[in-house]
Amino acid sequence: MLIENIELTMSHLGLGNLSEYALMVLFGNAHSHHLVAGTGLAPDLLRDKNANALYPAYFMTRLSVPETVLLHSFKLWERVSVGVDVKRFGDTLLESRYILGREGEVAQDAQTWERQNLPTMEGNNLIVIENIDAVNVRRKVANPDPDCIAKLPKARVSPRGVTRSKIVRSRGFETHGVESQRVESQSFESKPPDAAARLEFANKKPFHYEVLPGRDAAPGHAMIFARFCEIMDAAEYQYFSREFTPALPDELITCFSVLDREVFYYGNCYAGETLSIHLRGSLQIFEEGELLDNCNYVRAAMLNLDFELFQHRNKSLLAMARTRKMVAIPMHKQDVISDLQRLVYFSSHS
Amino acid sequence: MNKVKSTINVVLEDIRQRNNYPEKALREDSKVVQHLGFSSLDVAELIALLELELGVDPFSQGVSIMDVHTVGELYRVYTDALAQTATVAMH
Repeated sequence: MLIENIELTMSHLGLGNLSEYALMVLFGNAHSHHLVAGTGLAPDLLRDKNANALYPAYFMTRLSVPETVLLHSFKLWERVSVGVDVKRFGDTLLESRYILGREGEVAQDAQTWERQNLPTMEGNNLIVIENIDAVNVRRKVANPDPDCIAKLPKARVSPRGVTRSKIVRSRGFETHGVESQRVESQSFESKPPDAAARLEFANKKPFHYEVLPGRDAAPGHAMIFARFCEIMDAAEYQYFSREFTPALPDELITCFSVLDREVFYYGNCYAGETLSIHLRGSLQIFEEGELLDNCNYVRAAMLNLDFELFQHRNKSLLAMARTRKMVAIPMHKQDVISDLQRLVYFSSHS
Repeated sequence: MNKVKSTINVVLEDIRQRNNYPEKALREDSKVVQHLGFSSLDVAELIALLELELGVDPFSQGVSIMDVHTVGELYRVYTDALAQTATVAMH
């Protein structure tokens, strides 16, 4: 187990508050440090016996954020504690848990992290050698030289993500829990726009996202795992601002706060590639917005989204994700709750 | 069949069944990836399960997973690792 105390700087957040991408990179940094703790080596010196460079490739992450500690509540220049606890299953599978809190807030006993009301993440990695040829990225499982990796405690059972990644790939995610409560049978006159509604949607054509050198992937390197979440957010923004009719205003879309995101990574890509992104989901408006204790925002709606990301040129699957977001409207923007209710009502009838 | 071979066969069969891979006769020259259809994740899980079942990890003793391709090579590295462990215990 490792806890790192750091300051959230402009390198992490730019001029904004904590984002999902920034948090996942912080977790990834702590994970990299943990893997070589006690070896005297830098994380990029993880090697096998033949001195091949190894890479702990994520094949599953699941981020969970409490409704009362949303990520944007962590501000620029704030000091935080980032915790990571890694176990190995065999030589090449890693099972990790992560936690973020204000400095000093993260418990020293990793067994209690699930009970802390703080953002956490589960992650599973496979240690691989990446072979890159002109066309494809191929990963081969490889075991690290014991002198190049920290002495990690052993897990006694296979990480949850091993089986789940196969199930999700073959069957997709389960359908969203509550049956549709669309108000399509109601007329506008008999059903005022502030009534509860649940809208289901999907993009008609996949979004295309160009992976640019520098912005998305360093030249010669695969895209960092956390970048997938930003690309999903970009697709989500594009959907709600351009395809959703009537379009949602930016001030509403920026109120979407991630509560849960489970991602399975089946491949990766390099700068120059184009990704195709499919999304579908549902938006559930709450009948009466709920003011959360000690928070300066109202819980107005819940957004569920499933994503599938493909490499455009050969249609190979790169990632699948299920995301749950809360529409958390700040107290000073309460007018937009009415906009949300009206737009969803009209959209469900169009 | 000795304990190492039977254990390896049982674990290979368990992973095959869980993944609904086609049944194939296990031969010593069967390649785990090319013939049995195991993915990288399957290979990683296989190694971890064999460590639990046989109580020995040849890959922490200098063997590279990249050098083990066939079922016969699996038999050999685990047999050798168990023999090495027994020798160390005797000394």
